[in-house]
Order: sequence, then C-alpha cells, then structure tokens
Amino acid sequence: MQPLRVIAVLVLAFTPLLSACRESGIASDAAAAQPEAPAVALPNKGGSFKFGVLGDFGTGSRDQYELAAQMNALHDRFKYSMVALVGDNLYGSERPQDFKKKFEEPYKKLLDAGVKFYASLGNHDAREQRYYKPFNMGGNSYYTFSPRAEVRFFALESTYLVPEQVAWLEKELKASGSHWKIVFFHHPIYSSGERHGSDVKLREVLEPLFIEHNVSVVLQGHDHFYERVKPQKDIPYFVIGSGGKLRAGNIDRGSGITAKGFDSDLAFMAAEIDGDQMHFNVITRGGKIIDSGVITRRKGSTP
Amino acid sequence: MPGNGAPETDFEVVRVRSENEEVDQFSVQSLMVPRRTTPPQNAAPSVVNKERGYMAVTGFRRVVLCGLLAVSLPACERDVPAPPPATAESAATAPPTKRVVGPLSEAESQALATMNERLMRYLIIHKQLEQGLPKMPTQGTPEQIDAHQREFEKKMRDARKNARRGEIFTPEAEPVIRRLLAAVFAGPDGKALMESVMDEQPLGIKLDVNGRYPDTVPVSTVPPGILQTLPKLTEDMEYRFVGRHLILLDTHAHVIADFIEDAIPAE
Repeated sequence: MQPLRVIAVLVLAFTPLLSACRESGIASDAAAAQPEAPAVALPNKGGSFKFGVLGDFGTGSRDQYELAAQMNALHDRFKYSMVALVGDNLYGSERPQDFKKKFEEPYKKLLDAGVKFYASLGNHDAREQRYYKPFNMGGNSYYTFSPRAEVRFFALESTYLVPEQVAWLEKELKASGSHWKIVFFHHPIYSSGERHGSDVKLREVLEPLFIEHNVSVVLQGHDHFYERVKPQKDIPYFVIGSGGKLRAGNIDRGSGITAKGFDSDLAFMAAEIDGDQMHFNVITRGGKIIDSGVITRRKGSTP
Repeated sequence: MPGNGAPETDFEVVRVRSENEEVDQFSVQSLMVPRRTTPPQNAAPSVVNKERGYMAVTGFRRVVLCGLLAVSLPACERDVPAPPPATAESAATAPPTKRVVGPLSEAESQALATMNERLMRYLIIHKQLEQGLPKMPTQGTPEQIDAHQREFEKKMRDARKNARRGEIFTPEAEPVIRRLLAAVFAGPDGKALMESVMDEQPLGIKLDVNGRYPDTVPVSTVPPGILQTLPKLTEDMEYRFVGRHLILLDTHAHVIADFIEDAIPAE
C-alpha cells in the first residue's frame, strides 16, 4: 500500500482521535518523518505516562529493524519513557555480537534517548539475560518496578512459575497501592494462536491472583501476531508477539475470544496512561495503526 | 542402577592437587568424582595412590577436605532447601503458592534426602568455582556476561569431567521423581500439560551429563503443577525438559548437571 494511501485511510479511520492529536501537534508531524511516521492517535498529553510494548523481536532480521524504525520515528513525537518486553528477546545465538545485532543496534536511537527497556524472559532467552544492563532486570528473573507512583509493572518468568514466584506475586500485588497494575510475561494465558494458544495451566494459577488483586492490564507474547482479547473476567489481555517474527494467518478466528486480531505484519504497541484511562495504538512496520482504543482501569478495592 | 542402564557408582568428595601448582596450593579439579578401583590410563600421577587405589584420600588431603567442607557445607546447607519429608499430601490439592512433594513414603523421602545431599555437594563445587571468577554484575555488558558464563562453564566441566548420570538424580531418587511426574501427567489435564512442556521442544537430542545446554534449543516450559511437586532447588539450578528428558540445569554455568532419560511418561 502506498504511503499516501495509508495516511488517507488512517485519517478517515481515526478522525476523532486525530483531531485531538492535531491539537498536540502529533498528526502534523507525521508526514514529514523518515521512515514514514505512524499516524499516532494518542492524547500525547504532557504529564501522562507513555510506554511501549514489544515481544518476540530479537531476530536481527530486516523485518525487526523496520519495525524498530517505526518505534524510533514514533518517539520523535510521542516521548515514551520505557518499553515492556514480553519475552523472546534474542533468538538463537546469544554471543555479545548478537546482543548488538538483535537489540542494541535496532533500538539504538531509543537507548540513546534514555528509553528504558524492561525485559521478561521467554523460552528462547538464556537465563543470563537477567544480568544484561539494558534489560533492567537487576539479576532477577521476575521483578516489579514502579515508573510512576500510580503505575506498577510486574514482570514474570512464565516458563518457570515456581510456587515461590506465585507467592511473591501475590504478596507484591497485595502490597501495591498503585492504581495501575500491569503484568507482563511471555506465555499467554489467553490467546487464539493456533500454534500455541492459551496456556491453561498458567491461567489456573495466575488468573485468580489477577482478579483478586485488581490487575489492570495483562501483556503477553509467544504467539507471533497481535491480538486484543475480549476482557476476561473484566481484565483486558493483549498478545504482542510480533516484534520480529510473524506467524501469518495463525489466529484462530473461531476462538471466540478475539476482540481484534492482526496476523499479517509485525507490530508493537504504544500506550499512554492518563488518570484512569489507558490509550493504546498498535502500529505495524508500515506505520499503520491496526488497533486503537481506551481502557478504563478496574477500580475494585484499590483506592 | 535399575531401569536406566547407568553404571553403579559411589562417590566421595575429594580435592585433587593440580600438577602445575605449588605443593601447598590446591585447585578444585574435582570435588566429586566416581570412586574406582583402578585408575584410568590417562590419570595424572598425582591423583593415583597405588596402595589405596584411584582417588584415595590421603591424610593431608583429608585434612584439606575436612577444612573445605567445614567452610562450604554450612553455607550450602543454608542455601539448599531441606529435603521433603514423608507425607500423604499431594500437590494436586495444594494452593499454587505451596510446594508439596508427595505423597511420599519414608523410603522415598530418604531417597530424596540423598539426592539433596548430592545436590549440596554439587553446589559446593559450583560455589567454590564461582567465587574464583569475577563477580557477575547485575547490570552487565554482553561481553561480561558471556565471558563469565563460558569461563564458569569450562571450570565446571573440568571439575566434573568424570561425572556420570545418576550422581544427583540417584538410582534411588530417580523412580521417585518419575512417579511424581507420572502422577501429574496422569491427571485430567495431562494432555494440556504435555503440550505445554513439549511446545517447541525438539526430539532426538542427545544429552550429556556435564555438557553444555544446547544453545539452539529453547528452554521448555515447566508447568506450575510440576514445579509444585518436585523438590525445591536453589536459585542457580532449574528443572527443565529437553524432549521427554528431565534435566537439572545449572543456569549460571549453562551446564546439564544431571538428567533422567524419558522422564515424561509415554502417552
């Protein structure tokens, strides 16, 4: 699809949101960027918390670099401060040169700009990645951090959910007073992937904790496509596993849980938390926004 | 060794003097080696005592050994979780935050206690060698991580070059582990569990005790229900599956410490 056509389609599809964006100067910059900038339909408010989500990306392939270019271009006008990585951060060999080719070079502009990446481990990741400084894991395979008082992330090690990790998660979720509790990990507990799909054994353990402790959003990978799952027991789930690998046509359209699925190109998510709302866009290699929306946080018992 | 074809071995903890070191300097070439009645042909002269057999612990070595154990064992005892007690409980009915290794008879509990002791011995080597390396920074560069891991791997493999299958998963412990796994896979979710474990797992991979974990093989998922019913490990060790084999992975050294062949029951 030609760039001008892409922009025209986006303008038509997202006119209401783009109107808001024009006021903050986002849309007016879109056409000038190289490569073609994604037409960001996010509030882009000063003082809001902005972040990205990326999964299954570390291939070192041209496709990965092209999506990374879109992430770089987006950052020019949408200053996200961090990226949550939902695993499979490096495929294959993990020698020093691989860290460069599969991570440091494609995201160099973001790293240089001070964007922090927070990794969770996927099944293709060596356990040693937890010591890699740019992944900000502090030597831990599961951990929590709070980039803002109102937002707390919980990174899990879904390939190895020992009882101690479950107990840790329960304790941390319970102790957190953050309005937004965002959990991210590799193996999806809800997914329409024909290749992998939902890990029901993980779900049995994790979902009750998410419900009880008022988790706001769950970010997952492993299946190489994008899927926004219909809220399950009031919790929104995303599969964002197409940061560098694509499994085209792999979404089971008959699963009944898909709110939006996209399995024909790589994609990443850009999100913005403003008060009780989280706005999100999902952007492809070509800069096309293929999903967009607003989530209102679950309030439950959290003040 | 019933069922797995591994040779009968007994083990003793010894410390072997390196040929190229000063007389009063000892390096850890091996702290856990199989006891043999005859030395291998290529054994270094310094480790052979003709009167007492290969790897015999001399008086001096015994003193060094005792000193080493006196220093290392308390630290390892603190780190290594207590072996599971005999119990009628099972993980199937336990909350996911609780580990229940069971049901377990007294004899099975004792078998796992022996496995725990072997694990502790392994960790003495592991910790001793790791202490000799530059400390891994928690905010490292790829070069630091790679250099540390490969150096550690080399030292670990050198130290255990005589390692055999069954040293940690002992012949007594192995059937207990098999039974515990079989109980989980026999449950109503056995098929889902199997799919979860076998996801992206290649078949036909040849494993070596003390070998490097194959770089190109993704780590398996080990479902929570399985981790709940297997004896607790330290942070540096993990249970993983490669195909249907259960391995004990030293995550710091990237080495397979031991494994149980075809531990997952056939469908």
